[in-house]
Amino acid sequence: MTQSQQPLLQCNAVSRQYSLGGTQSRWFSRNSDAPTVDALSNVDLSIARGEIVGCAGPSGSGKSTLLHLLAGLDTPTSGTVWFDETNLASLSNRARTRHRLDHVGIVFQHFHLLDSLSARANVALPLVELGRPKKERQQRATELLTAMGLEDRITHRPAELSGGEQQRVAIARALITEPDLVVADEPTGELDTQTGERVLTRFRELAGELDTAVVLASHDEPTLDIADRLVRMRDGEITEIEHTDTADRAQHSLEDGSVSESQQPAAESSSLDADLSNP
Amino acid sequence: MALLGVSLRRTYVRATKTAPGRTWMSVVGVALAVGLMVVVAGIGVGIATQSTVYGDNVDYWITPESDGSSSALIDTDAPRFGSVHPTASELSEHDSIEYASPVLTQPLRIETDDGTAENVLAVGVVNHPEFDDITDVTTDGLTEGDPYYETDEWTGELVFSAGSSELLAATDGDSITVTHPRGATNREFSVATVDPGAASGSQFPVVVMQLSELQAITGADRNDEADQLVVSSNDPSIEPMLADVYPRSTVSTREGLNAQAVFEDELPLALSVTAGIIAVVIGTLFVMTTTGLSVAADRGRLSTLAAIGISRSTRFRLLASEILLITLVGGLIGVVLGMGGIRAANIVARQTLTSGTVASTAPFVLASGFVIAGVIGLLSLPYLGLLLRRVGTAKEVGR
Repeated sequence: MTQSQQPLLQCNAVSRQYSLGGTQSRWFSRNSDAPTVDALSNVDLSIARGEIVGCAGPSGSGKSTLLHLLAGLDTPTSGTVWFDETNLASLSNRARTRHRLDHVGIVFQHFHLLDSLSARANVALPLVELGRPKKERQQRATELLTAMGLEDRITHRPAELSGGEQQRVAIARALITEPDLVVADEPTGELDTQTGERVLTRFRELAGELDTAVVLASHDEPTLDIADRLVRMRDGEITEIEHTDTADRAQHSLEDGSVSESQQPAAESSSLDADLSNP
Repeated sequence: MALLGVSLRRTYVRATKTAPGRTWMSVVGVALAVGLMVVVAGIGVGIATQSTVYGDNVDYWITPESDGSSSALIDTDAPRFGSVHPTASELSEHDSIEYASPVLTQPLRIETDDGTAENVLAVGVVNHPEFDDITDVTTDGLTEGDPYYETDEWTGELVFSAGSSELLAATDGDSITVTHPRGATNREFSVATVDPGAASGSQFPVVVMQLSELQAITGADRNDEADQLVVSSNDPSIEPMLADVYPRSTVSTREGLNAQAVFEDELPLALSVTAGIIAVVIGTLFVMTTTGLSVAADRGRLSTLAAIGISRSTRFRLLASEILLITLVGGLIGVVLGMGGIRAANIVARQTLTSGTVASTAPFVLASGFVIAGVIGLLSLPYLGLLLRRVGTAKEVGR
């Protein structure tokens, strides 16, 4: 397998359990018989550079847990998550934080902007951590906000923005470092249709121009129409993976504002075993 | 610098818009702690400096080197300077020096015409138009320039402190007999004026007189001796020059004497140290409490910062800058409050206890307020670090 064909992300038999009750600390834990919840069970998934993967499923299906693991926000209870040639679980907390800064952009449903900073300052925050000069930070943040249609809101604080505008600021913040991977949980949940399409178009541009992998989770199936693959989950397991004809679907969804049923692609359901690829 | 800018903006907006209650609670806590400390320390300094020989317009004291005890305090057995009249006259001609006067102190026994006698401390000086008082007793009433030394013209002028006047029931113009351990003198003295007693030092039994006349009756005129020289000047650069006036001498400044007095006097030192410790404890508890509330309220944002790759050290520095800024603002307000408290304490003291002041706004007392505020901020930081280890981690984001 060539470098370009190697997946960016590779999950091998990944499981994540959470314990309910009991006490855990760095040095000891009590009550090891406390009940546990299997948030994710034995998941195998690979994601290529420039690929858009959608995660669909009801609440509690494990979508957020999977996104957390892919983004390096959490580590699996068992199994491995490889980012390029790095096992994320082997990294220290500090190293995983740096990994996210360098390689991952994250958009969450509750965007959590810093309320005391302007939109531009919020977007530029990752570049502050990277030590970029002020002029560069401001310029890039302004460009991104303009691309999001927020050129008139650059100096406004979050309290002065609508929910949709705040979401766009959060998306711009996730994109400012031109990450290798963008993880987005309900990215268009607070947005109107037109703005949501603009955001999704931007994700597609990222995937195409910068070879950025995008992983989306959403309850809104049309949002996932831009995905190259659709991963369906239930009870912490992947139940189905559909390879979609995304070029046609994306074109029709943008022109018509909806996806014609006739354009529904022939879903290629694949089992988890068939989706395995050697790193 | 970028992080400092973010921190300043965050602090300003939080103080004015988003979280004013928590922010100002921290500021007020520090301000109250610092303000109380400044008042108590000011009272301590006031107590410590009441017994020193100085005037409000004296900036430097030149004293013979001693064994470490403060020579600005009354010490009649210490080594003395000689040829003090020409030396002081030469210093007074310096451009940066308003005046310089030798000071000789001797215990004397004085008696009024009606037979009332008391032991007092006599302080001999060379008066000058800018020389307002010595040992809190006015020099008004003393002819300027020490006429007996210059022209052999005996004045016999005595300026009584309020305390001396009360002890001897003496008033302006009263005839006074002066006796020294060497024997009675046949010189004539009279009360030139009585100090009104506004300053606390005037309550002590002190008489101020012409230097040469005190030298004459005590035998110090043989070598033109004095215990010290006091110099009034606004020029801080003359201190080295003053140190060279006499070999083996020490030059003290007003602030150095105040600080020295505080550290040599156990009660004021204990007061100041105790006040400082209490201020640090109370202020730190205030700041730690509000820090905990702030971190708890901000845990979502903190976890998001962690999620997007902002390192823990950066998050710590962001919040630490805010804490230090808040404590310094609290310290500034506390110093101002403390100055007001000292003023109020002196007003109350004058109306109820004494005619002088009981508390001092010495600069090092005010500066200690800022130092205490800084210590409060620094002591709060480990708690912040502990909180950030447990709250606002990346794992919590989106939960």
